[in-house]
Amino acid sequence: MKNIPLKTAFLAASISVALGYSGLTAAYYSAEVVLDPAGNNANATDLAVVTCANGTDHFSAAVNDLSSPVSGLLVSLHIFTQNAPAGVNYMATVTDGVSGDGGWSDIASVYAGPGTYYLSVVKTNAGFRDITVGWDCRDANNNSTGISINVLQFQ
Amino acid sequence: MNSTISKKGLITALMLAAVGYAGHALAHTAAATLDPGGNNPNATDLVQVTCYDDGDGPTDHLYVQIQDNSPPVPGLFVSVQIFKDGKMANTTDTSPGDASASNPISVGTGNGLYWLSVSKTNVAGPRNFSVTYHCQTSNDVHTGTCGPGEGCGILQVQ
Repeated sequence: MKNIPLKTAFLAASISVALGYSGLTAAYYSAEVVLDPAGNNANATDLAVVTCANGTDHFSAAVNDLSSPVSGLLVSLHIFTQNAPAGVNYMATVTDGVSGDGGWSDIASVYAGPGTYYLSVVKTNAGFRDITVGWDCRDANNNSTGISINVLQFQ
Repeated sequence: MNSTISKKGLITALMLAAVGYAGHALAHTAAATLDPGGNNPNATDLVQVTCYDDGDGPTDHLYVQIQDNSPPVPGLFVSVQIFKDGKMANTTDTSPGDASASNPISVGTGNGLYWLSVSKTNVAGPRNFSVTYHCQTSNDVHTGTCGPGEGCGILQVQ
């Protein structure tokens, strides 16, 4: 039951909150979700598609694994675009290396301008993970631009 | 410099090899080093694999496994992802250095372009890995596969 309202929150553009991470100086959108709620899917992968409005310079995101530490079980986040300009990376990865401590991962960013990005969350082994994901489209001055998000896959 | 060196390494090290695994006439294996400089905890490689009907039938899915050949380091794991048409799968080699590969994954969306990425958890350090990938029909018969070892897209090497 717990994951149902969380899914709804993720699907519904979520809320804007200030993340307690020194690199995130302004508000990001965020949602709390459960990855692998049954605890038996080592390959569980959540996936959303994001559209960043005109004026966007980059899309950024971070993940916070709220569950207690389990040896060999870590949560990572990917940002991916299919249309990166020349010289720009298509994909970025970050991991919350210390689960359950309240701290966020580094911030992942892909600098592909306005358009479509994909945001995914994965983990390294089987096990329930309660996570918070933060994300936003930003201009060159790191100000928020317009964004829409739709969930493609929930596992 | 690291990127250039690693890209050359990836391109030259990629090889098409026949391996004995049940149900497949051919397998494609690419070997490379992620984070060769040992200073990029978030290193991510990205390539494209094109699946097509080479006469053995249309592609149903892309099958992938990854093997981390480097010695174990606490908190450091290598994973591989497949993405196509709004579907994604991920698997991790949870026992680095033991010569066994990850659980296999597949994404099944037919012929066309699949995106294959390799990432690691956020500990800096080079990881030598090999990825096995092949396009398969609905009966798991190997069909047309063009990946980095065959000159198809290497997009990002870190």
